[in-house]
Amino acid sequence: MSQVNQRVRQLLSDVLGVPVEQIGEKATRDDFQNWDSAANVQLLMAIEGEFGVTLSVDDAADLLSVELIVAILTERGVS
Amino acid sequence: MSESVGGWSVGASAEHTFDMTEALIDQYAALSGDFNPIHMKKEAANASGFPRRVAHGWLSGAFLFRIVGMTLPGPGVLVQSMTLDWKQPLFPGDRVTAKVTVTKVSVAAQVLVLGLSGTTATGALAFSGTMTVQMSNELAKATVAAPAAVSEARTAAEVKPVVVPGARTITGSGPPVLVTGGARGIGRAIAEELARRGHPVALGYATGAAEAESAAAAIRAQGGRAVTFGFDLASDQSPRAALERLAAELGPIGGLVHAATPSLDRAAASESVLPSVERYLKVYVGGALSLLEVLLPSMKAAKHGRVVFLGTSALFGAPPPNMAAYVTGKSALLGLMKSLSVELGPSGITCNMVSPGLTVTDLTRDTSPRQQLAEAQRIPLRRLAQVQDTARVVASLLGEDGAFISGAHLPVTGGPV
Repeated sequence: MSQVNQRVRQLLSDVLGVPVEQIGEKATRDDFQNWDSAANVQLLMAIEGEFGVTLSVDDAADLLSVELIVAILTERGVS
Repeated sequence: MSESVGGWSVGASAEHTFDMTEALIDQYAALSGDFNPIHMKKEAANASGFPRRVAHGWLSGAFLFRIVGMTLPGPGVLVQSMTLDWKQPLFPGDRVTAKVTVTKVSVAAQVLVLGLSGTTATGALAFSGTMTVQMSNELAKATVAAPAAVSEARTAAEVKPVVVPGARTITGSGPPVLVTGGARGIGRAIAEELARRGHPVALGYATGAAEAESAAAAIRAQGGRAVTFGFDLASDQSPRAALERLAAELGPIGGLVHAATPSLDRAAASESVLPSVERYLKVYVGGALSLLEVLLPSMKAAKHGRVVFLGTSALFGAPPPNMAAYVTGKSALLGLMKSLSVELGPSGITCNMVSPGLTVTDLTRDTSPRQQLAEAQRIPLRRLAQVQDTARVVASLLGEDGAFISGAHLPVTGGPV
């Protein structure tokens, strides 16, 4: 697994309060009841802090799965 | 758990053991035309210092493709590049184990890098190399299941079943149908599905005759009846002569599926998109009208006809930005469909539009992995459309199931959009 994927899952683990082992590399918002819009705001800030990037409004709307978050970070040059 | 593509993670491997024989060398020589004496005659091999006939290099390499094509990663794979070094010659009587191992995975690119090797029964390395492969259309599969969970269970002994698209027998029968844009993408899938349901089909194309002929040949190989129909709907010529030849060949055309499209122009409506709008209108609306002008008389005479236009999910809700010309063209086609359904109903002719969501085809291949992932996550059924999703709906409208549906605009979008 890529380091970015691992770090994203760790952030999700912190935000959702779920052990990181329970967050699959293809986990989506469907997999966790508390992955809601409020969690997404925390997630957005956590991602910006962790990776030193600034996300756009469009990016924020796309924080829907681990894969998507990794894809967004890849577009931002994070690898 | 680790990163995976198509369910395969770094370290996964598969192998196949084969016996090199003179019969295999003979078959490969016949296939490739390489009858070099060193392969064919023991004496020639001896003269070059080899004890027996030398097997062709690609003959052993072919067994690597057997693994890649059938097992790891198997169906869905597209080979992009490979290198292979032959470390020592192989001779009849050698038992060789070809092995493929995943050495690198790129999820974003859906790419696997594979290590290749071939070892003899004595443990000597006969060949080694690397291959880069891409998994196609991963997103169009059900995305809820996590392939990673089953990757560990796959072993070399386990061969995934080979799914030959369209390997179903022909069922039923139906009138001949012309599918414009039938050589590729959704149009091709529609033609294949119609052929499976017993309709003789004509695969329309403007360019790419070879592609159309190959698609038609694939249908014929499955027992269907298919011909190609080359005509550029963007031209000012009448399709009358070509359609009359087609009817002479297949019988009266009882159905038209209009799936032809120019390539996607991405530009804002505020830019100079009028030429682009005209290009779409010419193919969508102009094409439909010029074809129907010729096809309708026989449909009316038979009191039976089916017309289906391919639309787009962009016609529902808010369209995406920078697609003004495309959306305008398809909107005009929607208007034409509604009018035709009213006017042609009394003649026993139905007219409908089927509008799929984002489907990964040649037309949409410039969408990024991120766009595809995001779109799949916004769809209630959580996946992108497959060409077959649309093909089955269209084929139903052409058959008895569609007898009393007309003027409908059907979404194939996996839920409200």
